Amino acid sequence: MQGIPGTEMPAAQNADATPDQVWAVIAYLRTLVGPASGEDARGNAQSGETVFWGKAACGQCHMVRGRGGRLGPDLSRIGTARSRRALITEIRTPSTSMTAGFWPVTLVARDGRRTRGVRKAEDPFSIQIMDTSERLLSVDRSDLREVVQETRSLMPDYGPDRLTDAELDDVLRYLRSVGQAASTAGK
Amino acid sequence: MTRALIRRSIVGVFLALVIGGALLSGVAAQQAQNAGGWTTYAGSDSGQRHSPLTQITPANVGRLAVQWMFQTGVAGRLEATPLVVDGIMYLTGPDNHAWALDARTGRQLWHYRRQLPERLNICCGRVNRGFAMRGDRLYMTTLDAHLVALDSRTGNVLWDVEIDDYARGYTATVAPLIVKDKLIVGIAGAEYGVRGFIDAFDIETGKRAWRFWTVPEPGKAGSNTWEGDAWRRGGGSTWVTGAFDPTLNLVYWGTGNPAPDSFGDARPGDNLYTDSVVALDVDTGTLRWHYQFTPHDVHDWDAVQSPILADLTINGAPRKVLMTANRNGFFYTLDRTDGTLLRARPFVRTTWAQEVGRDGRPILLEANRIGPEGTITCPDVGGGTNWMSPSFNPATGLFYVTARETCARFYAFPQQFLEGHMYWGGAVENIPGEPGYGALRAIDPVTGLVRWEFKYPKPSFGGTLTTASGLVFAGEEDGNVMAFDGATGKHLWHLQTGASLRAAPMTFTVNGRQFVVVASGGTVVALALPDARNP
Repeated sequence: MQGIPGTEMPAAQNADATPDQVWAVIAYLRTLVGPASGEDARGNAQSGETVFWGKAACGQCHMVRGRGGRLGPDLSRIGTARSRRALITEIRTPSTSMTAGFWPVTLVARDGRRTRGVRKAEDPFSIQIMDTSERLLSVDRSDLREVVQETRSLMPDYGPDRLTDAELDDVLRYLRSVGQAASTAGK
Repeated sequence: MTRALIRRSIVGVFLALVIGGALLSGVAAQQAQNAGGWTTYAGSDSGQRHSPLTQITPANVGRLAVQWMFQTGVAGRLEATPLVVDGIMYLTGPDNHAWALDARTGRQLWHYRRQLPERLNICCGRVNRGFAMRGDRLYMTTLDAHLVALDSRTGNVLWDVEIDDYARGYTATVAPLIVKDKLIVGIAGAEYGVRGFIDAFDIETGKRAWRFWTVPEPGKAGSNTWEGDAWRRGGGSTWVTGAFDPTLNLVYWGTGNPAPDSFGDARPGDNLYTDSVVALDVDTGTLRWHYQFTPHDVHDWDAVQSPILADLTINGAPRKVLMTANRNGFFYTLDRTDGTLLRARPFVRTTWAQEVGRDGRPILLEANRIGPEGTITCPDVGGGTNWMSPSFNPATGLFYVTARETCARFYAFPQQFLEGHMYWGGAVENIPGEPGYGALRAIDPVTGLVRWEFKYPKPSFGGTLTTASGLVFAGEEDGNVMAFDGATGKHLWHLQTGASLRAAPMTFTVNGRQFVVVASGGTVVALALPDARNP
């Protein structure tokens, strides 16, 4: 009910559910983590791993099983948590589906200095971000000239020019295999 | 109860009884005794949430500090306003837990928990909004649609009566309102297609005195605004506490959305008395007048928001008014003697109605129409405001409300009615990338104009409180309880409590020390000036 930090699961504070019901939902969701469908079986996981950490440089911002960057969501389970269609959308056009805790923001200091990062928390008096150097910063709004809530994700669009359809299939297969391993370990 | 607590209580009673050299009795004694307390949901019958206490001021509020916290230890959030009488705090919580606390220290005196049925039809949270109290009795409504009376010294149940059948979708979260010899309560369940009502019960016996149906049966006044048998499942919940004017002998209560919420074709007509405020004779439950804010609502814009009563001067003439900031995004000032509309103006962005016409009806825009293809409308389903309590300070003449600037995509489609099941007839979708924002807004009820605002990053559900020292206290979604200068909106103080505030702050005095208390998540936080020591 409080969400899961570092994952795509937000808090469900408005949910009309007792703790027992929440656990029942969790148990049900775990039954949904199954083998890949025929469509999901496309691609080659080993090639996908190479693309993920190499050409596509996904690991600069994303963590997988303890390795990689912190600026974007941890992708260790994403391959089993999202449909193939959703993942393709999120990779091809990431600005259409940004996740809470990773909204891009630019802080403009009173002297005009600009700091870019992702918003971790905020309230009427302060804002907390991770900047592009992965530093966690807390700034009082009274020290800022402006807080620019960006509409474009820090992640670039991975169109076919950056990632061919075949490479995308490989990356998805890699994430699926990693996700299945993570889900099994979590049971 | 500790010996010290008993001693203070006895001394307090003695002082109250001899105030002014005369022996006071009955209600007068109780009022004198509880001059520094908080004895009803909204602090007074007028619903103003305005305290006469002045120890905490704009000059010293910056030194406000936490004195104690009480963690309920139960799942779910607090939406209640606690009561404080004779130094004891009475609090209700999720799943009809309830507590009595030493208001000076936060220590628990007793804990009550109701055994609830396993399957309840609750649309919007297993919450409760507070007790009503008279003498040594506390009164609470329950999620299984009962009204219970508790012994304030032990938490033991004195009597327990059914309001209506929970299996049909009825539930109750409202704090009762005590008026004369009656307990006035409302009901929830419009999302399950119940037929709404307001009930009055005898305060001694729990016997029902009258019931006012918010959806009239055929042949009764207002029934011509329904077709067929849609009235049987027409909604019109009454889930937030109303107000009372003793000089007019009228109780004012807001009513909720018609059912089904979105598919209006299932219920052609204006659907009286949904989304209205009704003025009822408290002795008989007879309707004196009504004003409908959203005829034939399709956006779930309940009009249950706490009405606030005040006497204002408008165009040079004194007027007895009722003020309300509505979920539909408009702020209204009505003459509470007869329901005449005096002012209506949007206090948030509204795209469904151009304005409210001279005849009191909204002039609709295209965005009011919804269907299976979806329509973006502002405000969203949560509304321009919601159950979070507004407040009014007679000295500043301003109405303080938590405003929500939000829009959503609304869908409508047919749905078969099944008793005891959700009956929405539609869906609501957030707009990606447009989370909206919130604000504390101060509205001049004479002009309807926003005098000042303080913005919040997120749409919030925290209530407000005003004091005679000129302060406004408010809570917001990211966890801050805040104090402002009520005249200017200047931010004076805040504390990050660590959980969203879904209740209104309240204030009271114990042993000469003023406390401000607010519920944050599942914790009660009590604040006071560090140097305002007990005498």
